Amino acid sequence: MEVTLIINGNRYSVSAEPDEMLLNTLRKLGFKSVKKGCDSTSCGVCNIHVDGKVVPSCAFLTVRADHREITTLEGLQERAKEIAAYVTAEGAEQCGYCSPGNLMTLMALFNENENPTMEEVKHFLAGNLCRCSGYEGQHRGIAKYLEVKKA
Amino acid sequence: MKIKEYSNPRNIKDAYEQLISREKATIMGGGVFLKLQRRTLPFVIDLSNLGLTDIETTPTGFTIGAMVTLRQIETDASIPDGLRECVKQIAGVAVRNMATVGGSVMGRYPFSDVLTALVALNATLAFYKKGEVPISEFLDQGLEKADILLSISVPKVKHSFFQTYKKVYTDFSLVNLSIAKADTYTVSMGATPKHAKAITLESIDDVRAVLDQFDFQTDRRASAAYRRALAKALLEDAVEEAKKWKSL
Repeated sequence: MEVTLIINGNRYSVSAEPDEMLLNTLRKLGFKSVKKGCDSTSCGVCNIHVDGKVVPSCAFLTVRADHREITTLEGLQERAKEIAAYVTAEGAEQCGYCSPGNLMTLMALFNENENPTMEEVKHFLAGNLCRCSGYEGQHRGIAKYLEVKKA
Repeated sequence: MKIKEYSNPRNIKDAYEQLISREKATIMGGGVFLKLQRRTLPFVIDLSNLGLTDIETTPTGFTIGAMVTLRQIETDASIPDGLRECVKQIAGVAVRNMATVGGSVMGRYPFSDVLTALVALNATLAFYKKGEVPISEFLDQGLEKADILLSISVPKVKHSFFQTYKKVYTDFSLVNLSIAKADTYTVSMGATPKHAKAITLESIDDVRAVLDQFDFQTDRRASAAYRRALAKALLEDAVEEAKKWKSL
């Protein structure tokens, strides 16, 4: 099926199978920040934004995304770098596989609420798994980022 | 999940006609649970272009469109506590942005937290052809003919409450409980491991008498005795909560 996708502000015409998921389409188009993890909506590493809302790209049909605005980490690099610097400084960037999904989820939270509490951050990130179990360090890094931003 | 053919109708009439004319048609709400199934679907009707995404307040309560997401429920202050609480531990935010209330209802999932809350609230389902059906009747009997869920109506309640036991945050419930208070109490339990069932009572103070009305069973997640013990703890919490309602 022919589909028009708007990815990070640019238009793409793609041909997709009826059961093709955005995860695969985006990776084929070169958006390699979108990682394949569990492929069953349980881990959060494939998270992207569709119309500003964070969704698991492994379960989002490409044909359903026709003419919708898709954002991947490639489209939010400036902000992502800023946050990631704090996470890295806490030693929480280990294998790094969960980072794009974590950052996309976190930036979706910032779309709703610029100054969330750490309670809200943890609630938002509950569906994002880290196979190195670096959660504590990630939370420390995010807390510091929020503190500095507020000051 | 494999899909042979996909359709994304622009109006409900077309969606219904495709549903009754095509063999083995499957309706897609959020598409999360369908994705997890190892099935080949010959024809999928996606409801994402039909609207059905509003939560409306009515004089007698409120109406939730079938395509309202679990995340919308979580963030809408007009939704009663019992329903809003129940979605907070369902998977992660990203999944809740996709999963729909209609999908939770139509799946008749026995583990569902949403169904336990809706059953306690005595919700009524509105179908395109069949019209209104009480949620408990739908859970017990299903539908005789294929139909499309349009919305879910929930009458006003004074108070509501939801509690669940999960091994970890985002997991399925081992047992869940919801209580709504209008003039009487409606107590609903799900994941027993059967689908949600409700009873109506004047008082919930006699925890043992309430528990005796539910049939707990064993499956690979938990034994019947363990479920009953968990349910007892949930119910005791609810009784404490209900004491606060009385003093309000």
